Amino acid sequence: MSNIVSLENVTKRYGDMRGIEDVTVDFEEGKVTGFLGLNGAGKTTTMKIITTYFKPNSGKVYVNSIDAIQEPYKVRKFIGYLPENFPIYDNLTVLDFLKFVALSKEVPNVEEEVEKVINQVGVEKYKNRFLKELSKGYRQRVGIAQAIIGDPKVIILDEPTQGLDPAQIIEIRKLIKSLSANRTIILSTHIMQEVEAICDNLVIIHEGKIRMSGRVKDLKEQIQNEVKVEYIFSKTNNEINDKIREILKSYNIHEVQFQDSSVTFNINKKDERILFEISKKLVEDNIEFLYINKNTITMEDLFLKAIQ
Amino acid sequence: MDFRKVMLIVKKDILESSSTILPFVSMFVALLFLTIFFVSAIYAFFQAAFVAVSFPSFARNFNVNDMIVTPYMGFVAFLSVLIIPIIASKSFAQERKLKTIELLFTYPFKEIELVIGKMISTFLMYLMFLTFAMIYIIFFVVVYTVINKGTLDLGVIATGFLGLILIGALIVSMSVFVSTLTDEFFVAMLISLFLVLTFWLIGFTGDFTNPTYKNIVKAISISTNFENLSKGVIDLKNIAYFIISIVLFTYLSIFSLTENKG
Repeated sequence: MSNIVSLENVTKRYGDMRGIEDVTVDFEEGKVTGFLGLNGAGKTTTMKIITTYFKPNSGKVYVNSIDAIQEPYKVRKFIGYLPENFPIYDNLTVLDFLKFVALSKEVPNVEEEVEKVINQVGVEKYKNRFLKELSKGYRQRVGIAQAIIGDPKVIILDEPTQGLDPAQIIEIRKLIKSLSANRTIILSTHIMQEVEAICDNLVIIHEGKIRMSGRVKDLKEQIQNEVKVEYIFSKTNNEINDKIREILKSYNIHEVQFQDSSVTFNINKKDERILFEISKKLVEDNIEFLYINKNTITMEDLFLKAIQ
Repeated sequence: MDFRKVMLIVKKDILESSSTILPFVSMFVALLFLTIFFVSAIYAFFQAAFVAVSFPSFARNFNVNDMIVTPYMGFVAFLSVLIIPIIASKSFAQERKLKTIELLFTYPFKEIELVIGKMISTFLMYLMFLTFAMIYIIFFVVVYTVINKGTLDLGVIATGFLGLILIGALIVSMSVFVSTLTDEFFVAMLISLFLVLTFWLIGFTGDFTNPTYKNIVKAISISTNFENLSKGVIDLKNIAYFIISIVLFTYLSIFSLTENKG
């Protein structure tokens, strides 16, 4: 599969404030990519750059092999975008609004296309209602309808489930899932479950920089192969922590988290026997531990690890 | 520029226009003032007409254009100065406030299409006011023709109307430009009013200053450039002033939109 959206060394600043910094990332054609990050991580900035709404300070952006900075107008024809907190024209009906969008995107057979997306997102009953009269869940459906109208090559959804109640979240996730077949979707979220449920690929951004990218399937395999180990000690101090670090290093365990009196690290499932050796070594060094916890790794753990 | 895209914006704005009632209220109030002005002018005209019948020397200076048409056109122009900023200020300020501008900028619209579309939709609302305003003059022309068994100098009315069209287009372009700078409707409205009134009133200050300053203020003043048209005189300098100013503010709006999306 080729990349349909590529960012090369893209930086965007708002005056002295950081937006994103030296971001290089690709989005695969025909796949749903989860764009994950905490609030303020740079997700929306990146998405607005891809949609051509923002011009970056430096770097290159390509959408469908077109330079998005030089030819924003052309790129907009390939993109469907649902902004965060979908803004609405209060006094337009669903039908009028979607016709306006279809015509602006130069969609052939406007009436047919509008009817099609109305059915796809399930707002047939409300098509003659004013947008201001719709519930948040239905407004979001209309937001998705305007993004998919004309079958754009890239669909960008910025936090599509934000502010919805649990029932609406499930409905919108189902809707996105149903739309995802053979479509390129970039889905921004800070909810890992959403990525697990919907996405093929994952990109993690933190403090304006890309921290991780890969296939969700690979990450899940990694999760299945690894186990999270937590030692609870009776007491710890800097000296003891240094000794623990040294012991773990001797078993090739370098990524270790120290928190209060606990130490956490991941090991491969097939290497579980080394826990016996580590424990033995700790006892030999007079480092007293109370118990060991062994847990399966979650996607949240991977995310937290990526943003550390 | 694709004119179909421009008309799409116009159509959307017209469908959406009921979202703000203030422009309609301002037009209604302006028409009330206009009615009072018109009735007063007619009353004064007929009183003067009776005097003219008794005093032939007075009748020589008795001119219906000077007494009714020109002042009426001037008053319509002044009301336009006041109401267009109210009509136009919502154009981009409201899109920014509601964040719907994000949608417009991610649909395949060029900045020029958005600006021209907003200017036309605002101008059409102004045209609605102008149509009502012109009904009084048409009514007067018909009545005067029947009573006087003659016709009025329609040239004065035609050039006055052209002047009102040009003034409207200029103030629309100024106010649309100001509305690209802020997301607050009232801020946009106040700045536009200040800007437009300054360009309107500056013409009256010229007579009290030195000749160099006088020439400059007369050249850039809206009221001075309208004066000739309201009297039936078409001076290319005045026409050029309006066209150049409209193009300048349209360009500034496009520049502002391109540079100030955040």
